[in-house]
Amino acid sequence: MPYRPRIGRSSTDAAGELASARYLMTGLAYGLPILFILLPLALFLLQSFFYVENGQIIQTITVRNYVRFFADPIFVPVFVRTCLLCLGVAVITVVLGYPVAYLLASLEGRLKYTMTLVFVIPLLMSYIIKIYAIRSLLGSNGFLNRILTTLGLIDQPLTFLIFNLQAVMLTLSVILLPFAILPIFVALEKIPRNILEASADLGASSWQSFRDVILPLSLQGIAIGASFTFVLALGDFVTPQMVGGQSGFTFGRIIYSQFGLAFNWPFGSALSVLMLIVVLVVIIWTGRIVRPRYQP
Amino acid sequence: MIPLPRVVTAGLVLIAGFVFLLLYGPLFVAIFFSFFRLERNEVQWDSFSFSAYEALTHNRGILDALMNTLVVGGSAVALSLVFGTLLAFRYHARRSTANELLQLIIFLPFLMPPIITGLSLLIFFRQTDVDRSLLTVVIGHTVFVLALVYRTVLARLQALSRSLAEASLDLGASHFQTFVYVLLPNLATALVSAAILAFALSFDETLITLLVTGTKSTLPMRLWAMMRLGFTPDINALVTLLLAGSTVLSLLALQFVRLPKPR
Amino acid sequence: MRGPTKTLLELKDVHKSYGDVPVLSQINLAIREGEFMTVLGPSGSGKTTILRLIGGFTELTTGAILLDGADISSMPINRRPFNTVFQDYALFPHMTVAGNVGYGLKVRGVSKPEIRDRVRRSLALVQLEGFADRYPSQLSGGQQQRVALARALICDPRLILLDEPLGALDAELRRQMQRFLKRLQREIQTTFLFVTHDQEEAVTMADRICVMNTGRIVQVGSPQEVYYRPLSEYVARFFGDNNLIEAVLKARNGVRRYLETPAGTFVCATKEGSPASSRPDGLPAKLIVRPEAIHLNRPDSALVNRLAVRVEEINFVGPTSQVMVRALNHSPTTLMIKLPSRAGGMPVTVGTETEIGWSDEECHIVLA
Repeated sequence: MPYRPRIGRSSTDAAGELASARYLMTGLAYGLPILFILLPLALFLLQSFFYVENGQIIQTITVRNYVRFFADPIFVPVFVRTCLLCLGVAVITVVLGYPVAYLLASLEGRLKYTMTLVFVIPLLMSYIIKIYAIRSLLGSNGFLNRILTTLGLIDQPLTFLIFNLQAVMLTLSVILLPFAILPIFVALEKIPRNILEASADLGASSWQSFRDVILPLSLQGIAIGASFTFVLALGDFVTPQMVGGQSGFTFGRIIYSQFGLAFNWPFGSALSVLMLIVVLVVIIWTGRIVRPRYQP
Repeated sequence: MIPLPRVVTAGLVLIAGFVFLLLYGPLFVAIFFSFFRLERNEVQWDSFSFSAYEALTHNRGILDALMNTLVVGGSAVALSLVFGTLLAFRYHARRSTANELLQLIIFLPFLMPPIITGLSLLIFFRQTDVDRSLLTVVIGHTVFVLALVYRTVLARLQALSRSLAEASLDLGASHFQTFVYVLLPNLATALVSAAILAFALSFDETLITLLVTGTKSTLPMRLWAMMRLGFTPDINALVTLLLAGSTVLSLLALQFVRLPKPR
Repeated sequence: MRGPTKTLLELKDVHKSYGDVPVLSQINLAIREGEFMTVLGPSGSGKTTILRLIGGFTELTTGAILLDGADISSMPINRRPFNTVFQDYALFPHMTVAGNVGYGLKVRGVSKPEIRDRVRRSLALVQLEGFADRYPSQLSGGQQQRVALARALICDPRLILLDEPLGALDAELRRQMQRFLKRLQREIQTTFLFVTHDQEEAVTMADRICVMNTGRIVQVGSPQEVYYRPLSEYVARFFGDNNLIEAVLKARNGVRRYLETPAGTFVCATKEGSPASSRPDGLPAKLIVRPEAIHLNRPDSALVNRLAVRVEEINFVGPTSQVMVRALNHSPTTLMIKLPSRAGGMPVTVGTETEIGWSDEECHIVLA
């Protein structure tokens, strides 16, 4: 076949167009994340080193906010208590979430697909409504008490369920459960079926297979689920406000109030930075677990 | 998985059932009370009606908030789709430390507690003298869902054979033609599912919005305000509708993930 | 043998490194217009890199790629008048067969009716008429491969690059495709550059073979040349079974060269001016003789190279049988002889002591 010349634009003008388009795209691409994520974070960090005097933010570098956190006897205990509470949330969600994830992983086909959907969809349901509903469920006039009274199990409505730290922990656990179920489910799914067959073939009982093969291999999922719920619980300031009452004061609420009534942005920023450090530690530590030595 | 003894399976089902109640209990309560009235803490079992839904259509405040939520959601989705795709392509085109760092920055708002993202934006807006408004909310949401869109598109991009783009260029297409004729069609399902999920996330976003919102605001803000004052019956109706909407939306999104590649 | 002679594409002093790691060194290759050239080598030899350099998918580190004498090293992929058949076919999953094949024309703005027409002809050329509306996922591996081929052909490229396209096919289909590609190339007279690691495939299809080893070209020649007159031990061992005997160069007699080996003195015809004929005595070398060139059991007296041996092993390999023999004169020399198999049995049995012989024209000298 004879060689036919190409139809098309000449190389020079096409190349020029391409170059300027490339630069534009590069600029845009870098622009958004840097401008709206990196820069605010930097400013935020900077803010933590300023201080407030007479209701004005003085923009001079100082570490007094951090000193205050450690020196003032209020803050550290609340911080520790909040961390413990969130740890509790992580534990509850994982302990309840693992069996659910295991059940889902053991299902097949249509049923598995549907049931997984059922347990994951609540993630997309209204956050505020969930809190409100739980509050009304747990309150003295709430649904739970009504049912228990009607059933004759109690005489007086239970008051310890609401407006305290336990209520915060319970509420957060319910809200964050799907965040624990999902990673564990994914980790279980990843376990190659032939390993389980090999285990059975070698004579292990169900329990042994579970303990020695499945559990270690699903550890990643547990770690991710736990750290995810921990981090989300730590930063939550709405739930404690709605169901925590007076005694349920968490670190998140303290931070939030610095940006509200207390109007001490620099101090609030410093507290947030401290919280962020804990979060980063958790994330890095999880990263270590999630990449065990034996996996490529 | 491994075959389990009946007892254990029964136990698992029991726990799963309990979790199901935990997750859906509060929601069923809301749905229930959208149809039935509560008078002096006594359920009026004969009061089944759609009146709450009807009242909803008259509640200007709620409807405005709903409109705002849709606008914010749509904008955030549009922005995150464009930038998420651009950034995914950048990352995929070349391995470099700059790109790795950029990826980390993109993931930050998703990994960190929303309170941090919200606060940092709050401070940023103050320093740059930008008034809080729907625009700041849009920015907050975009930054948050960007990671999701980015991840989804990147995963799809990496799954596509590298030789598809090379083949297109080899046959004489320009980079733009390659993007339009070859890459975009194969990314379509990923984009749609990411968009739907991003919209759902934006719709319900509370923590960041609380911090960067102005006076006009989204539905979660409105609900938050109403929490203190007390709910009107039409709220339950709204909640039920929202739940129905979210369910449909998420089913839709997952359909796109499930759907096999074109033929 | 009359063959293509005009140079289409030339790689000149091409080097390619990834960072500090050299992948190609001193590549000088001239591809002739209208020929079927195969680039042959094991994985890691750099053969795919050469293809990717020519196609424009990778940039060379130093050197030049000349098309009709002009350097195209910096020309982007979509401007080069070459088309590639990828190893994984790279068919667009979201387009029909017709869509795939017509793509190159579509992006060039060719009119729809003309595209339809040319697609039809292209599909006919690869024997896939009627498949126009199918999707790639509905096709078998062999069919997908032919679609990839049609897609590359339709644009009338000056050179078609094929990156181990037959690797994923089963043996029978491979052979069919090899014959098909060879016929096709002869018919349309487009230059083909075919990359493979399979020496049999290369020998079957190529007009010329470019043999590669760890980033360098070790020999370029027709299949007969690389088979019968390898320039190095590597090439000698690459194609089929071969016998290599340690030797030392000895006296010359016209174009004949004498060699001293542990098994005795042998003589080999050499080419005028080749290292084998011009290098001085005493240099180490290898005497190469193909198993099928050795005559067993009462060889003709005209065969000057003779050796007394004992038969050690006989292996039946279908159409041929391999006979392993060992020299009787206490040297460690063992040779393989290939004979056509006989249903009635071989002329020798294990343990037989007999004589073998081969002509001085049928062996070759390679310098160590």
